[in-house]
Amino acid sequence: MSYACVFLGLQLAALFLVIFLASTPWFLTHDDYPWLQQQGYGIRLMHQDCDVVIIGDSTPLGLNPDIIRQITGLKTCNITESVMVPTVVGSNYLIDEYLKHNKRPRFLLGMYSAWRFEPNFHPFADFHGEGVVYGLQYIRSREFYIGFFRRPIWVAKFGVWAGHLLIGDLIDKYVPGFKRPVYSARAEREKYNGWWLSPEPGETTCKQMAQLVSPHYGHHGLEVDPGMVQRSPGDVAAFRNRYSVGGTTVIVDVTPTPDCAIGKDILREHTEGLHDNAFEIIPVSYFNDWDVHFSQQGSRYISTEVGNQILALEKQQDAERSPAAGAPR
Amino acid sequence: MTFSDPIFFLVFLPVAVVGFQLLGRFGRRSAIGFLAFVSILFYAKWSIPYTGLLLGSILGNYLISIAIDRSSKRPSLQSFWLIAGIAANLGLLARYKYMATLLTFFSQVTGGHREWFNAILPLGISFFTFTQIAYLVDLKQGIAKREGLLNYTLFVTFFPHLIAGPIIHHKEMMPQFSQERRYQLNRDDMALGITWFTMGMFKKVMIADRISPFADAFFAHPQSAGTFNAWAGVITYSMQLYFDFSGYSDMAVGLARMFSIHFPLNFNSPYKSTNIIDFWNRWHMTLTRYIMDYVYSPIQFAISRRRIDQGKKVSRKASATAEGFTQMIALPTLFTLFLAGVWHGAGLQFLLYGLLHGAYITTNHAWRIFVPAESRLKKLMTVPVSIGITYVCVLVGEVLFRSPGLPAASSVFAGMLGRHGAGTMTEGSQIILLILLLSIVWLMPNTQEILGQTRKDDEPNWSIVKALQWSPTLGWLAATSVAFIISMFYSSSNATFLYFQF
Repeated sequence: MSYACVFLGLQLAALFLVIFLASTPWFLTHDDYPWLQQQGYGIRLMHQDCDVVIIGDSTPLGLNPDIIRQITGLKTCNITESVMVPTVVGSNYLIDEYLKHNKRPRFLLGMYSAWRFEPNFHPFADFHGEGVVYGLQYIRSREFYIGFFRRPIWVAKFGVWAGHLLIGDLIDKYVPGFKRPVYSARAEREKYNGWWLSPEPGETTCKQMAQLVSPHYGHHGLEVDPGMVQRSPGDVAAFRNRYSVGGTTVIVDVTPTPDCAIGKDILREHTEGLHDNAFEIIPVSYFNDWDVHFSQQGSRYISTEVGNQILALEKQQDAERSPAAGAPR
Repeated sequence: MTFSDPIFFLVFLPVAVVGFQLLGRFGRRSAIGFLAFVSILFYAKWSIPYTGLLLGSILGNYLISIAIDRSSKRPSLQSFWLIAGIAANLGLLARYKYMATLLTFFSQVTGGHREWFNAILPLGISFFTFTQIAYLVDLKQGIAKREGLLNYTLFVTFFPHLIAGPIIHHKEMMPQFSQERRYQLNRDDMALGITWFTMGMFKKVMIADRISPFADAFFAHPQSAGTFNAWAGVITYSMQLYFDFSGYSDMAVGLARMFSIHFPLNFNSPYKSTNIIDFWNRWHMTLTRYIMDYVYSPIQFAISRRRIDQGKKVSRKASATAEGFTQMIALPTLFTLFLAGVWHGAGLQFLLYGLLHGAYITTNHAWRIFVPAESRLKKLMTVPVSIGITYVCVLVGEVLFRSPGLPAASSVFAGMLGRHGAGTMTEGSQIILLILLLSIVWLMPNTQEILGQTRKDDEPNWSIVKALQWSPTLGWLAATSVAFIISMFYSSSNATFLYFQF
């Protein structure tokens, strides 16, 4: 049995070595995986005291703080993490950590894709390797380690995921013909106050998301399974209540949907009444990655829209605060 | 959950192995019950509703097996129960594999425009259906004995063979669970099983899954490929299929061996075959055996009886006449392979695939019977030439096997025949990869040869490194561990085996 035991021991050792490496700062920058590199912008912000703070799933990464600032005159920071992070560490952690080191913002804007309209993930809701890396890198608390290691399936999945990245990196570095271009998503986010666009060209079809939502064939061809369109009115309300204190106005927006998306009506119907902006259909060329992340063109459009939305709210609030100034004589 | 899913080999398998070891201390029933339980869990991880279907199928067949056993003194009643059992099993298979295609066909024939879509095919339905039909037939013939429900459930669901074979006869597996043995892990079997599993996983994860994008890209747009790329695409697919299925078979046999259960071999260097009959004796060997035992032989037996009734001869000499050859060899072969083709899927391409292989085998028989051994033509067929011709014939069949329909297959054939022009030269890296893989396939020993687990009556395959023999040494431990670690990091929950679609 010693042969089998040594074999098993070596596999476990490899797995835990990889998990250890994934918790070192080197892991974040060892290769050019942009979704890993761009993480952690919000948690590194200290005493920035932004007036507008943007959070959400990965879609608001395309909201450009500079455009919003130009429109509103308010200092804006985009501390969004991809949905792969809040599903592991919990949505509240990301905002609470920011609030520990910065003043409360005047506007807290959460933007979420219509496909997964969920602003209130609990910790360890859904496995994503990127989220576990975030936890190992930035949280490092006893609770997080216990939560992670008591889930053997997560440990197995994460070890394999991180090991794959490491081996892929070795191949990139040492096997001729595999070299990827050097690209630093982290530097880009730092430079543009948290704004970051996935380096992909604009989309021309909605195939990727169509595959993701497990469509099935109905009487009218390809249809979205309504059960796949996640939304949680209770969680949206909880999110608003939790952060609408101390002078902060919470705005919950739905990310526009590309014109070629299947099941647009189902998405509109299921998110109705939960968001503060209009449910918009925009050209697919405004997206570049998975039909949900904004391209340059889409980013400009949505940043302007959000800037105008905040400006309108700002004016309304100013008017409410000084009714005498606005009242007819 | 598949064998190459990290959750399978990092969580499920260790739990199954440790649980077997612990519960085995309490005797046979607890060990068998535990293995049946984890096997059902293994299936349920894929789909809970279809686990109900699997359990329903097991219960239905179990009840029929009781009926067959109890009516052993009334042959006609026993035959009735057997036919009812086979019909119910085939009906279930047809419902999931062919109903939507047939409904669409009838809708179109009757002038309708409605298109029906197939429900998701329950994983392994062909394999657990075939296993159970074989059991009912064997039970009626007295080859198998009736089992209790727990044993029968384990026989059908034992996870190493549940979803894609090997197709096991009752007499091959259940006596191993019946005999008085210690239901504990055996260190030699464990070491061998781990190595066998690792070799299979490496083939699947590091070869088949890595080259599949090349093959997929070619079959997605065959019309844009010139001659070079068409041949490169088809050869790449042949390598993907080889390493995928060979990898799966190694993993299944290795898993069973971890529990000291010996499974029949399912794969024996098929691309080293010198003729197409030899090929089918090496490719998916348990399916070939199944088809021979339960389809071909009964047909041939019925034809022979009919000829005898008509006063005709059924000897070997009689089959060397045109009439005897047609009746006793060509017809049963073509019909059997036609059914095998239809089993692969409802599309015309699968039907043609079956008939093509039927024609190959018939031609192969005719060659053996009608072409004299001393003829010049036979002397030209040296081993390398025979292997080359057989491989090209197999490649042609695999085009039909892989293509989504006949038009796509025609486009691939047109490309291979130069109808799309020579086109650009295939990328150098892909050519080097294919040469490397073909060298492994043709020049290296296969897994069971390396592990010293060949069948006694198998002729040894030719290879350049006959001395490569596994033993539980430190060197092999290191090599196996490295292969496993690399495969582990490249494994994926989403990767499926090509034969799962059947």
